[in-house]
Amino acid sequence: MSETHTDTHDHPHSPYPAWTNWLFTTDAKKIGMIYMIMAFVYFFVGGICAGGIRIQLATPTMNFVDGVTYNGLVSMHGTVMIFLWVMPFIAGIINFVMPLQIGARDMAFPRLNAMGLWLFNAGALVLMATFFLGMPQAGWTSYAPLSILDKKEIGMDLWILGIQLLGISSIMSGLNFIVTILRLRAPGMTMFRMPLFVWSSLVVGWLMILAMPAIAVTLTEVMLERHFGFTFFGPAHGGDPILYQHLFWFFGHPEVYILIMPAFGIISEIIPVFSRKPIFGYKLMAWSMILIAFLSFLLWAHHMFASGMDPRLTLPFMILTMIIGVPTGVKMFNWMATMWRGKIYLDTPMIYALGFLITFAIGGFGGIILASIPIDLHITNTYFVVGHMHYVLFGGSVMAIFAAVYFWFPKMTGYKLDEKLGIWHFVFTFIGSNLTFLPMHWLGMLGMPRRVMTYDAIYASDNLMATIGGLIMGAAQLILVWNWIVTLRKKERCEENPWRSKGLEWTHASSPPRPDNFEEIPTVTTDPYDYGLPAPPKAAKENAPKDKKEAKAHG
Amino acid sequence: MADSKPHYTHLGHSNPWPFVASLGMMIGVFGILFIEYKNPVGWMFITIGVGLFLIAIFSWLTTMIREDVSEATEHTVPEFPSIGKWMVGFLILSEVFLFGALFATYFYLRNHDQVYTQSLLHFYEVKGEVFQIWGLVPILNTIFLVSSSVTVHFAEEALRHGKIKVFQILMAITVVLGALFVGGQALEYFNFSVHEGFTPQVSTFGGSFYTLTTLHGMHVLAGVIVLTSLLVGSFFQGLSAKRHVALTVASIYWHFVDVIWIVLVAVIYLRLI
Repeated sequence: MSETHTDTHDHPHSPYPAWTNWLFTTDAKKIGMIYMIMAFVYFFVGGICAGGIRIQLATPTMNFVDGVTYNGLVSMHGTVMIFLWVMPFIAGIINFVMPLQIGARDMAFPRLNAMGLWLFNAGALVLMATFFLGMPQAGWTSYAPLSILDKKEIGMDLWILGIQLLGISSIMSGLNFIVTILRLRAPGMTMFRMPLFVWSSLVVGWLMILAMPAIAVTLTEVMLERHFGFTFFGPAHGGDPILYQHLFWFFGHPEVYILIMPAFGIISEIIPVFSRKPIFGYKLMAWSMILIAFLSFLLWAHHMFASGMDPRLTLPFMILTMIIGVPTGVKMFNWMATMWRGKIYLDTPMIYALGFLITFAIGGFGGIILASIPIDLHITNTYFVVGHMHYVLFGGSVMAIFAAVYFWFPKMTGYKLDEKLGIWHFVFTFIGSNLTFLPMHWLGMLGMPRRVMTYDAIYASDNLMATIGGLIMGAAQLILVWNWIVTLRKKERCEENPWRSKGLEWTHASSPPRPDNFEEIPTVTTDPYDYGLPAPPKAAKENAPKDKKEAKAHG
Repeated sequence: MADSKPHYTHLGHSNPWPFVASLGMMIGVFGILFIEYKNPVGWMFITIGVGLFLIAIFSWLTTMIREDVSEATEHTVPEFPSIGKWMVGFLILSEVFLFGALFATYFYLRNHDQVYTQSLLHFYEVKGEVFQIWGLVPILNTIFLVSSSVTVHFAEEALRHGKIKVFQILMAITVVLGALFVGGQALEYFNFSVHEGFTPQVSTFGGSFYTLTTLHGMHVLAGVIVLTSLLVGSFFQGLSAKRHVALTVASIYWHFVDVIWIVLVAVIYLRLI
């Protein structure tokens, strides 16, 4: 190894001035940090949109915002939360953790990685411009008749161009994840010794490179139709709006799994650590993620049962949708079996993981209900769908993201987040989110349509409950911000491995890790989750690196 | 595996060009937006954006070549000999889905038309007649592109055996053939739209024909630019018998562009399916 890199100086032989350290960085950890920080900024932007929607819906005929603003808030809430909150957070956490977990010094293509980061930021700024120039009206799906009707609507164009930039960014990240995982693993790290978070990153990479091209094509076609007189979707000249839905959901459904797959990985990392037990059914966990990813490309049309598509096609899509519940169920049971008779430590990350199991299970059940055509025809486009989707995305992805924040914060900064504040954050988030999204299920069953700004008085009490829940949930996030401020000001360094994890990122890298990750690339000799075998783990500081070195010497 | 430990020491941890290239793309995007709203300021934005982007990409590539030359002997080459190849492999997979979405559009719209008219051929009608697009230009273009795939293959072989002169001649032929293809396509577009009245706006067939062929043509153009820069680089020791990863990657990509063209000819021009 080259001598120049043994110093832990932040920017070895950088010819550029110091203020460019973060701007010009190609270090996956710094790139990951920028992704995550920006993701949280946009989380609050999306949250403010959600607040506007919920306040408007607090009573049946509230006049908090006008119709155009309301449509804009609905569109931007969905767009921001999906493309500017969960997606970049995923990219960030994978960038930070994955190279450490596979024992690599960086991603395979660090500069492409930086390009992906700045394209994300460019796309995000284009989307933010809609708040000043006019918000898109067509929802985050931008279905074709809506998105091509008003050709003078600047928000729609900004939306399209912004999403195009984000799409290119995601393809770049996806390519990088795949090649890094397949080619840059440390000696001894075979495919089936990879931590499950790495497996989830690999699967996400595949989903990104295969799903994103579809949205790029679709939005280009919308653009050509809006401004250059082409016809694809407009029925007046022989186009077909249903084509838009097919193309969009061919992207959109794998996209849903892009959002949830890393959550599976994060939960699979956390539960074994805090149960002090190896993960139950490791290989099955990896294979179930691969199966879910494969199936996710084959069931896009379950979003379109009521669209007037060829009815002969709907049955296979329903069956495939129900089949995807099987590998997902396998994962749920394996997580529970991992905890079974384990020595469970209820630290904040674990509490979030438990919260995830509950809320994600409810979301999953909602999905099975929606998959069945006879029921779906009645409750599609009602609040039931909104409730289901938020249980999966908030109760699934976001819960896992919070778990990841508490779990890897000591790795990123060297400081451990305050446990008490963390638990209060969880309590209010959990109560708030259930109070918001649970009533939506029966509101939908009763027939309240989604995307409306006023509604019949019979839905009033449940909507008020949802609004109160939403405000509690929003306020709870301030506890997280407070926790960051308190922790970063206290500057109390925690142990190197506060959770006594056996992941390479904890045992072989310092907190925060040096620019090239490892002093020496580790050689892997064990499976990823060897907890409680054969002897109980020793205290963190003396143990881990030595353990592995000894194992290496003996093996 | 044990003694080939991965490292990245040659990369450093700072590079301004990804940032500048993205900035250029963002400015360009705002330029497109202005043009859509008929604001001439858009052209200025596009010029600045594209300019920044090109400067960034050019500097990015020259930095890479410089590092390659100065550090190649130490560790850049033997460490991960195939990440470039893996990368282009997955990129091609992604591109297959990109073209796939456009082909799906084409087939869907054709079958949709059939519902109303009971005739597949109605889809191809321009001004009341079935429009034939197969002709001299696509035949010549097919010859150009297929033979350029052959020449780039032998150029690679020549480089592998250290015959740098043969390599340069074959590469020059490849680049010229690629450029001829792009020229041929421009000529075809001109004929169709000006003389025959077959514009993208005329029907759903027009829209899907022009989007598919333009996307493919842009890929050819990108390939020509990459191959040209490799050819130019070879005069400045950019490539050698031992270091031809960039050329291997470019030639895999070039073969892929060729294959897509053959599919395009079979499906769109000859209407075999």
